[in-house]
Amino acid sequence: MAFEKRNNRLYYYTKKRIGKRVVSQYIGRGPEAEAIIQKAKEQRQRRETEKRELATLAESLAALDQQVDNACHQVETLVSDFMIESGYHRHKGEWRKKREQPPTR
Amino acid sequence: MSNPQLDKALSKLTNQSPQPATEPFRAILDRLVRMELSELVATGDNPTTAEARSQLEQDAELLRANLAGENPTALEQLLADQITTCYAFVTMLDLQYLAALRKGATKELAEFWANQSERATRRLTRSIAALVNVRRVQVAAIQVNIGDKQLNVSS
Repeated sequence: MAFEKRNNRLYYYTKKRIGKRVVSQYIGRGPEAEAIIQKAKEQRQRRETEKRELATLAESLAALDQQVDNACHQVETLVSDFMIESGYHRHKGEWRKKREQPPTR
Repeated sequence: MSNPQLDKALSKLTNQSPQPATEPFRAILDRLVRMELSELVATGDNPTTAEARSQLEQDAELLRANLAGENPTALEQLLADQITTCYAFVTMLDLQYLAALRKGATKELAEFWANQSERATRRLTRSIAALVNVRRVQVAAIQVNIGDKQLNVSS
């Protein structure tokens, strides 16, 4: 969004892309336009703050999530070994007992 | 269990100090007690941090004991610890999700908490399934010998 000088006067326009064309959309002039600009600026700042907060939150949670994941992984490996040792195998994510072969004649 | 390598790995993990799930569990408790305590525990209107922590530890211990059952094997004990930790993590995430919604969270923030909660719930379900599988195998392995005859009590 920006002011454009036309006939020695300032007008406030936004730019919008429609297909391949970029179109100017008239918003207003004078104090009204300034209020709209101020509102848009505040919204943009709020969105940026929220984005930063979310990134910090995600970072702090990722460390804890990784700790839980590591702990689970260690035990899951053991469980997997135990199941294989007990004669089971994984079939489409499900543990199944291996069939005993009938005695050959 | 007859595989010496597996026995060794299990023994190593069982004797490890702290246990794999202990550290993350403590970290989760730390976060939980920093949250709005009155929503978490029923120890009065304004429980102190110490009261809340103690209450949460008691609840977790009860859950762990119920999951492990009587005379648990080392693997069952490890899985009970893991499930308790995963459950605490899901609880923590759900409470934070709820708190964010109450405060009028943005779409992005609500989505973030929903995704985190979903992921943690999947991990909890996987842990429970692992315990169920281990129990099923252990029950299947029980056999009774009467004299020279083998009697399978469960298969």
